[in-house]
Amino acid sequence: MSKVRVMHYVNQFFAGIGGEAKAEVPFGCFPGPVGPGKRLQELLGDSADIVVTVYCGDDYFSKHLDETVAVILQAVREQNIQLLVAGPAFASGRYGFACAEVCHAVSSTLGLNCVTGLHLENPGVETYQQYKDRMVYAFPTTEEASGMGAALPAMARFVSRLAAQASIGTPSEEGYIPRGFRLDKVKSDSGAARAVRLLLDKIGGRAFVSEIPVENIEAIPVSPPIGDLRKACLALITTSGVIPPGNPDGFRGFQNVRWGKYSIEGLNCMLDADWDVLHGGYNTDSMKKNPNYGVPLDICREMEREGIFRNLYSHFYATPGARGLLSVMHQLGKDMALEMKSNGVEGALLVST
Amino acid sequence: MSSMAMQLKVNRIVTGTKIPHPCGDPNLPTEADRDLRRAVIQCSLSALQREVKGPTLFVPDVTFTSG
Amino acid sequence: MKLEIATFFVKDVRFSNETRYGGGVLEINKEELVKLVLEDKRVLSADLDVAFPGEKTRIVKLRDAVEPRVKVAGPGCLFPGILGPVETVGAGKNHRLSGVTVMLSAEYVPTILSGTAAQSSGIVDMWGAAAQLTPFGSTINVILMINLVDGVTELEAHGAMQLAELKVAQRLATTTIEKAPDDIEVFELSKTDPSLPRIVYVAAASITWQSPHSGLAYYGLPVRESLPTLMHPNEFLDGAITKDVRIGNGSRPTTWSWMSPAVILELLRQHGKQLTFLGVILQRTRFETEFGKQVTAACTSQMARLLGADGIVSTRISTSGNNFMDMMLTVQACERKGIKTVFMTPEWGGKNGDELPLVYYVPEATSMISTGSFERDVMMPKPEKVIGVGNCQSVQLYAGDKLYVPASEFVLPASFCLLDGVDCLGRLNLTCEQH
Repeated sequence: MSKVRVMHYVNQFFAGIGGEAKAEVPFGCFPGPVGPGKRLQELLGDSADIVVTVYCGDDYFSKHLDETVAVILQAVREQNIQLLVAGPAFASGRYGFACAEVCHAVSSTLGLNCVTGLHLENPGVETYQQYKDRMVYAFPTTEEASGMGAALPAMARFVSRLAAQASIGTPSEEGYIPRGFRLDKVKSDSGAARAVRLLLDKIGGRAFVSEIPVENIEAIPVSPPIGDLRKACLALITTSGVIPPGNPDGFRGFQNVRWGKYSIEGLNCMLDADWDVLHGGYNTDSMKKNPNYGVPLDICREMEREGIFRNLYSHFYATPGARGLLSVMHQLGKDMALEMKSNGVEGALLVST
Repeated sequence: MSSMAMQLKVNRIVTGTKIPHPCGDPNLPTEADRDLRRAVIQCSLSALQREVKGPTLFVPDVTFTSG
Repeated sequence: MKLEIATFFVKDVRFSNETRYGGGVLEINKEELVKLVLEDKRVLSADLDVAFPGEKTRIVKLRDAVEPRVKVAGPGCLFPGILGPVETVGAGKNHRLSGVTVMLSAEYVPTILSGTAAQSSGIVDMWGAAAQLTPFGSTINVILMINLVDGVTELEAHGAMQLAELKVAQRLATTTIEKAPDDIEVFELSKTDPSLPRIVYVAAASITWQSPHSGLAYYGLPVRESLPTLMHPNEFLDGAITKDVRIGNGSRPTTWSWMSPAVILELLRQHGKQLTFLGVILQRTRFETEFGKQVTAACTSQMARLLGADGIVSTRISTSGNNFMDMMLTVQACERKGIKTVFMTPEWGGKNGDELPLVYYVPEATSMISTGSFERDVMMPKPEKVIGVGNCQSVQLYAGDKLYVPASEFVLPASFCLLDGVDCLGRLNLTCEQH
């Protein structure tokens, strides 16, 4: 079996070009291993061959990301590379970001395994966890490059396993930083048996591992307040399931993937027209009798007449919200916001059940 | 459900009454129901005009039938 | 309260001219059971079929499944309050047929057409990917197909469908009377070594209190706005807890699952060995205000404390995100009272596991068990046979949904479309792992 062909990506410093002063150098390459790559090659032994080292200045990379990535992909193809190693970048933020981006490009475009090394607080870890690439593995390192002696053996061992096509286990088994996606698995015993065992371990003060980690949820950027409400155009949105009668847009009771906008022009109150309510997640009786509970048109018209705000947008936006997939709802929200902005809407009231 | 909205890091959250009728209470007489709805919307409009730094809960000054 | 359960294994089921059990074979006289079911004037027509594991058979319009089990000694009966008078159960002697279910495929004209109170039906495949996601891919299922008369209210429909399946299940169980069982197990909360950890099981149930049937019944009484209720684990084994039979989707456990609740059986079997099982708290959830959710959390944790619990295992039913908050607030309240918690739950996670597994967190939820995701697509290949009541050319799983053609190949958007397709109670070995 021939040795696996590896490309090693490093920054200007580890390529021996120079330090911070040389962060603007464009990409380049050397045949074979360079700098830490030499020690890496020793550790890899016969399992793999570092056939080329690609480098790029940390600042150059962030300013010319697409271009640099394109060149790297081309080099991977031309040199029949089968696996990429990037870094380790330790705590260096721009370098870590570059490693994460290069690994993402190579694995998602060319389907190759990629291994890198990052300190847990390196911003590159966030990029790595956002992409959730199945074939990219980042190993945790120390903050400083003085930890190279520990980082390289961990990465080399894993590269050798990948080269040998060994079956790869979970982060806790293999030591890499979790990407943050979850895969289905069949265990050797039932949920109930595992639950009781876990509780007894916890009560007994023994070490235990939760099967679902507590997640870090991303902050949403804060939008500035509306300056002068009297001059503002506001829109109403609802996920309560209020829709036109007969459900002309084909919404479902659960897991919707689209949104609609429905005219409230000339209406002073939701009861001035007919509406249906479709939502599999709550008792819709009250809402059907009075859709103002989900689209508070009666009060908004009153306030519009009083001049509290300039006007209510002509339509309300809707999608029934039961069991919506988060990624889908993110997209629908984005689409609605863009549409509202293009229609001069400055603020929106979203009523959710 | 406002705790859930806080968890998901929504920045301006206004607590409505109850899940089946967030902007009102069908157990109240019509006028009182409208007043309740107005109070919730009023609170929402002031939330739109307030500077916030992160997830913030705005609670309208209302009472409603429990359950 | 000592309950002895005698198990009779069933390895084959066939229709014949006599309903009897012998040598592991259950024979069923169809006419006898149809006549039994038609005694209820609300039932218009009835029929039976059987499906075996491994067959390329798809069963549709499903509402519920029940294990044939009958009480042969002791106070009360199976399904007290429904098949007999209200009397505290959980003692005496039961016979059960293991490896077989009575599965209900039923149809009626609904009067509630949308929202949480609307009826729904489930599917079971006896082979392929879907068979791994419910317990019924491995059981021999006797399918009772019934049609109800026109004009029934939603609650009457539930009552008629439930009575039919429970009567049939009970009748089948009586074939074991006077016979020698294959296995006997005794369930009792006997005195234990006081140094063993003291455990309470919190069985939380999401309730839709405004629905005709709230979704869960205690001794036949739908649980509505109640606060936590204390139960002896054996009561579950006698069918004290039943469900709204109109709701056939997988986010609610079947009667079959409530009769053999995985955590209860595990704790009963470990009682006196690894732990002291104190009892079960039945917790009604899905309060509609945050205030209500905090009250149930305070009450449940206080009840656990009064019992002297060192720890609780909690489970929920229904994939609703709403009830999830009640569960987490309860975990928090218990931990703050010094009671250790393990919360076992199915997870979200989207189609590929890229999305958040849970919708709400409390910092105290540091020990969780996952029973797998219910958001993945489920492949449903073309079957060789379709079993279900009435016309099964196309089925609608819940009001307002698209139509599926059972005889074809399709993809279900989630395992909660399958009967008992979401492992809320921890019976199966499914989970998700962090990568």
